[in-house]
Amino acid sequence: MIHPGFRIGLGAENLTKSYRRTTALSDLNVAVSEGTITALVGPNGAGKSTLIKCWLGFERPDHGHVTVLGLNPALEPVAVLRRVAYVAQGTPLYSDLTVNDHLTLAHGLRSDFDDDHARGRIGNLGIALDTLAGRLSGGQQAQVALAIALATHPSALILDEPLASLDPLARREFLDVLVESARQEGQTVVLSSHIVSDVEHACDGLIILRSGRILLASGVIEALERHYVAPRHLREGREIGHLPPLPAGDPLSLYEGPVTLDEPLRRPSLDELVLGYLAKKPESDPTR
Amino acid sequence: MALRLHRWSLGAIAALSLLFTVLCGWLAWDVASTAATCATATASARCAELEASGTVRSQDVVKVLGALGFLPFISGSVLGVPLVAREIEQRTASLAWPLAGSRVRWLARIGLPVAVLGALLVAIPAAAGFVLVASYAPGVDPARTFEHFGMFGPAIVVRYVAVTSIALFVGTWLGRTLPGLIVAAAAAVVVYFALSSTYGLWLPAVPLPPVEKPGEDIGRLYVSQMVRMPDGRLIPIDDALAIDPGLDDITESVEFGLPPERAPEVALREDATLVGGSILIVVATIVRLRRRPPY
Repeated sequence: MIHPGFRIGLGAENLTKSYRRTTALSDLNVAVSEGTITALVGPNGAGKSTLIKCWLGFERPDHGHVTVLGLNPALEPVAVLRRVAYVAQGTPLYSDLTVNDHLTLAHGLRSDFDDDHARGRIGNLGIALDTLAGRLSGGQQAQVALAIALATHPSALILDEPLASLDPLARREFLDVLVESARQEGQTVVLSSHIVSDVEHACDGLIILRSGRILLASGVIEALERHYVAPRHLREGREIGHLPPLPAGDPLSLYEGPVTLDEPLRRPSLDELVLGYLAKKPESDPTR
Repeated sequence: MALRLHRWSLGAIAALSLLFTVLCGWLAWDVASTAATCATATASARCAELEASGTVRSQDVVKVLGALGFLPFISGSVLGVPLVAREIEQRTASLAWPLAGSRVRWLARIGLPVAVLGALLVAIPAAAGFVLVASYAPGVDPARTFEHFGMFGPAIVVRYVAVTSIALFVGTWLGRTLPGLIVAAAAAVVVYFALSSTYGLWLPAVPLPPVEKPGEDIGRLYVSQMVRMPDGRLIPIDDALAIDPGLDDITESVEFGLPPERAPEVALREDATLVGGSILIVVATIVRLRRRPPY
């Protein structure tokens, strides 16, 4: 899913990663364009977190390799982490430290940490600096974690399920901050999420994973234009009266049950697209 | 900030440190004041005790120094294990490690101040123990005695360093605080008994001169007892008992061990071994830390 004229921000080639007898990622190839926001979606156990951990150098591939901004995290983990920020699943913070303590800690750990930037963002959200992190709401904790990550001015930002425990309003606020920063600073962002509808307006790219394999890797707009929602009987080619001409693209059989002949074919929503891919039986996976 | 993160552990060690410092100081003062009082008036029971044994409150001193001997093992375990294990357990390693970039840098920023402050907290009662030994055994240089060896003074700090490094390694390896504390405590017990039972082996034992008057043997380290057979051979007393159960033909008993003035050499060898071992363990910890995921 490299856009013409773009460079690879994060990539994986023939990436395989197993944990004992479980294959988390299987011969996976993917490329994320620099300066884009990409949603990494898939069910639990799809391999999203494992792919992210390989990009961060937390896990070493069994076969193949990953690249982050042209670097190999398995060989140059420190160099990668100097350029990449990470917001972990559940946005962990030190519950017995205040927000201000977190910023002091971050500054102590990283000399180029932009304290003013972080304070500004947190202040704009109305979060008091002297509040203990453990007393913040889930949305506020996520915002603090994001503010810390963004204050390192990373070239790439990787977020592992940051929206999972947030209410809809908090999710929207979080994504607004993320998109604003990414657009301003031209950051490459990969965001794993279960909540497809929320990332629809935020993301340029989409990667759908299942069982350690990529089902779809594409720009969001391109993916929506290439697909349409077709009643199952149309896809199966049964003649029922007059068939409307099928548009170009990949048919998705998202409908079950009776369908009227005059039902129009239409473009899917991102939710429908993802669900359509995830509903496909494994043997029909395009990557197999 | 590192100290704030570990303030509860440090607070517990500080409380123990204060307790031992007060106990050692108070006992040292009591022993010294008793000696001063008895120099002018010898009518009390305490003065009689001092006259008879050369010291007072020996039971209390033994108890306090014995407990102080455990302080480095407790402190090292309590401070060393959570440094890494708690970060992994509470998942904050996922925040801090990528932020720091280098995990060695993170460990230096967070772990080093905590470990150094811990050493200072342990050093205070260790010094108080030194003062106590000086008061308790007048005429004996605490730096040159095997009396309560390893239970006061610099040995306490060196042992703390060794146990902290072991605990750090265990915490990094397991990534869990409670199991880490259990394993580190077990390791600390092994180290404690290994040190307690082997320090006599750091130097070859020599025949010790016979004790001519009471108190002359204070500070000696006894390692073994040999007996001289009629043919002039020196053999261990157990072997002699096997040959001559009544020991009727024994002409002379010779104690083997180390005189007090050899204590600094033993301490130096033990310290060098512990510090060297600690460095190796910290290197192993860093290798593990760099490889392990933050979860």
